[in-house]
Amino acid sequence: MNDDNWTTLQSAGKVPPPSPEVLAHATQRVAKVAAGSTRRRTVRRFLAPVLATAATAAVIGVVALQQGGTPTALPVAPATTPTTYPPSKPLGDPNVSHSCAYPLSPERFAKVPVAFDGTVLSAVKIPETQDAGLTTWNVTFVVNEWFRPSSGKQQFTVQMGIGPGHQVQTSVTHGYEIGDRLLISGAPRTEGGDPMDRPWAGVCDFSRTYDVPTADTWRKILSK
Amino acid sequence: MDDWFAAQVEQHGPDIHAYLSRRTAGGVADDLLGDVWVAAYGGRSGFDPDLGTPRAWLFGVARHVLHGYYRKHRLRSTMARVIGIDRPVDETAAIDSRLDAAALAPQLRTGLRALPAAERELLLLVAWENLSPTEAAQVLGIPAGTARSRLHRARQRMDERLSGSAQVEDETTRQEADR
Repeated sequence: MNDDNWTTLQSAGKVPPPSPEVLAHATQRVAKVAAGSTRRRTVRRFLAPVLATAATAAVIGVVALQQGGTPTALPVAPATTPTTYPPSKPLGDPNVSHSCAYPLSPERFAKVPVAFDGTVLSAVKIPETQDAGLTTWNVTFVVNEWFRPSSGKQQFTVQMGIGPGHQVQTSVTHGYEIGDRLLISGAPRTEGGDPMDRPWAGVCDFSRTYDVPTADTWRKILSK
Repeated sequence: MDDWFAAQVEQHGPDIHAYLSRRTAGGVADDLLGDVWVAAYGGRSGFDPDLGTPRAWLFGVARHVLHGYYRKHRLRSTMARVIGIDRPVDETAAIDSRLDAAALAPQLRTGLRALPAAERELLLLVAWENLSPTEAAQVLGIPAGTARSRLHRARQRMDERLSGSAQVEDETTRQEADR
């Protein structure tokens, strides 16, 4: 390659420099990680001897009870089942949500065409179709509550890019299992298509695991 | 964060961001830069100054983060295409868009596209990132000698293609003049 071509090639690679905010944001991210790892090390250093002492005491206690021959009550499981759900988490990886074709903004959420609270009944893998490498699942829910539209079928099927048990083609922080209760937001599979005809869900949208406060928020926003 | 790492972040931030920007679209580089720093911080004990410069090491980390990004987003991109939104599906596609947008001489663009992927990546690391062949070798995890010969071959191929195109152009001009 002569010098002219080399220079032309180099100029084709020119990009604007990042803004100071972008650089600062990236630096803050690693600074947080660094601060977290220091804290974890400190906690580990403090907890290790405490835990070791507790474990030793427990072993000594058990041995003493066995040697004493005193009948002891066996530990039993709590009689009540938990009525609360763990805090709601997105099905997809929030760290990569920036890659979606659009931002997951409150404005966008207010406009979702399909949203409901449902329990996963079944998930059937769809054979790869015209898009090589695209694997999706038909996931049927028993709908506990329709948010948008305000009413619908008791059983409803969406097409998801995430299968049960973390079967995914993209990274997922919190997948789902059959029987899990989820908050699902969906969008038409084709532009202008019927949103109630097996919509896309679970990737690049607001779908997440169920909890009461989040469901309340969805109800409040989507009932408008 | 220790002083050494903070200094690397400050010194190489713009260059790493530029590397990511050239190979992605739509402001993705802004987010990936943070991913690179976090990954590099986690793996900083693996950096050996005897094996290369911090700059080359950071480009290597950035390359891994970039590949991870495209691996993770293959499905998302496919789905985005299905619903009618066009996004680059990989690094090559992003670079192709950049070359198109830069209105590069057609034969130069065609020549680049025709290069084997490994040669093209190396050539662009040297041309765009201003890495030396030895640094580029460290980024790619190949011996420096291999990088040098691969780079030589890439430039030779480009020369052949460009001179071939020039000959065809000369011939066309001559034929048009004869008419």
